[in-house]
Amino acid sequence: MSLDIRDLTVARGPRKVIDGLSLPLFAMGEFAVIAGPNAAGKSTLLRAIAGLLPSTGSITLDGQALHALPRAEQARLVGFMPQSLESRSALTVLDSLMVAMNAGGGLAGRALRGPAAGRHALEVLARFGLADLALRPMAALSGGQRQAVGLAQAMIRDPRLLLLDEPTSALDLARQFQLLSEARKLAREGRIVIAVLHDLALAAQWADRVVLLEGGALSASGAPGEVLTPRSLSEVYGIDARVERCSEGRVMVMVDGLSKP
Amino acid sequence: MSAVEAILAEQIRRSQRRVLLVLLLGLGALASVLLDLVSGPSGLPLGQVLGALTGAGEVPKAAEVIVWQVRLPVAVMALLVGAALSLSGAEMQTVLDNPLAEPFTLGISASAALGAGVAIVLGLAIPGIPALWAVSANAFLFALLALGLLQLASALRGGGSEVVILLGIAVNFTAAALLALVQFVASPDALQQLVFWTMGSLVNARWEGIAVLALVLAACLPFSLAASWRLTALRLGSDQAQGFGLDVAHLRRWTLVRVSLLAAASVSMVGVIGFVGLAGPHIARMVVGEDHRFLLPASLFTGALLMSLASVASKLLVPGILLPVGIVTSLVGLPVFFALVLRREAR
Repeated sequence: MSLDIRDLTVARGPRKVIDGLSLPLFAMGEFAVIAGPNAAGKSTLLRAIAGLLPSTGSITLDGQALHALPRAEQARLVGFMPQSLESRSALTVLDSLMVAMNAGGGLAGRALRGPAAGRHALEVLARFGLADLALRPMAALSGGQRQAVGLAQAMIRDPRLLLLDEPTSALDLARQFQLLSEARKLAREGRIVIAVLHDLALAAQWADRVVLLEGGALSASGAPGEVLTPRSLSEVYGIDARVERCSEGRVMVMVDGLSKP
Repeated sequence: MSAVEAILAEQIRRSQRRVLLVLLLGLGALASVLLDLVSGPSGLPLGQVLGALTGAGEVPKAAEVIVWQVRLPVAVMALLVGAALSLSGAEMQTVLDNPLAEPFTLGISASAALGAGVAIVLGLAIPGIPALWAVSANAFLFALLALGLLQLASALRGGGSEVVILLGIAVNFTAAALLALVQFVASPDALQQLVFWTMGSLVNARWEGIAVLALVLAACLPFSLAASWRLTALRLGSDQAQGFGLDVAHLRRWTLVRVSLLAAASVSMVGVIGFVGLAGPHIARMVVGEDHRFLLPASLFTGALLMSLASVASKLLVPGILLPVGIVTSLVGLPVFFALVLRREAR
């Protein structure tokens, strides 16, 4: 399985946020991180892949034009976890998973109803260590819990392609570790997982590949050690940074100051 | 029992409780209709009313006429109007993500009133419509025009709910201003008729009108129920719902068409009725929660119950005088509603 993005253009109003972007193929088992400064088009790219924003160009999954597929089929193939997860809803976590399962046309090929559907939802919650929250109202969750539930919602249909928009923004260090190691594990199980991350240290630690965007165009793409260099960081972010190599080929980024006043 | 089984059992228990509550609301609405049938200035005993309804036993001709020609149309119309307005309000509140949305606040009722005013005062009506139905037909047409405007706005601006709400409020004020203009030029007779119409009244309920409203409700309800999972998904936020694979703009557009038809049909039959479309869904939500598989039927029954009780109250509040039901729903219903809301907030 592979995801191919060619010549992608996404406009918001008259402004082209992403203009003719082509990316190297994403392969099955890969955990990729999209990074870049504010307004680089990271979330826009992710939402366009998810089919939430109209785009031109081609996005193909296994040679199939992703957005030419029926919506229910797309929803089965692609799981999307949005950035804003505010909820005032009195629905319980379990209810929200049932809704995630049924709202987009149900699980294709697996019509789960009644207790079977509930059991499946609980299995997914248990996998992410959230079973205790099953009967808690969404509105009563903390920001971190909501984000964890968001991942469970995106995974409920067992998608092949998992898109996470800043999945760790509300998480403490332990939960960040938990979520990102889970994300990488999900990729290794036979999926493509793409996350937008602001934190380059996390990107360097967890990603198989970093896609660095700037102004809606590709700046660099490759292993974290190749992409995150003092030079590229200075060009893209306008910062003076040191990039230290640690054990196991890991990379650490330390910012010393601004290179562009 | 394992933790998973315990949670599942609790989930099933909650669902069963909600089904039961929905059924109780339905029974409550039916009981209220019976109450509506036995209350009235002519004081028919329950036995005669039931006899007239079922055709069993000896029933005076007068009782039969009162039940079939006067009380039953009023009672059934109250039931249907309440159900339609409340269902319409529930869906509007969800797709526009606004607890204040209802046919009244979005200008659909005001437009219908303007349509009625044009027919009553200016004598302008749709050609080919019998005089008896001219007011209703005009009201319906104007309500649909308001719907058209809302649709146009949401299509042009990508279906955002804020745009729809703001335009709805604008339509509301514009229609009210135009109605005031129509009232300004009206003859005293026409003015009286128009004011009475805008108060909302069930006295003119006729079987033909009931049939039209019942048809609209029967045509819309299956689509509403079929959309219940998708509507529930919207309660989690439209971003989230889109992530689940929902076409939110499409859902919003078609839901608005459906609820506007319901509201237009109701208002054109009985005049402007506020409050039911707002309070019905809120009360239903307090009772069964946000899962639309339960919330939509619960709203339907709650609206029917409220409207039916208002119909009873409109006969009993001032002995010997039949108050316009629109006044009763607002005057009696609102304090009850606020008490409910405040009690919930206090908890």
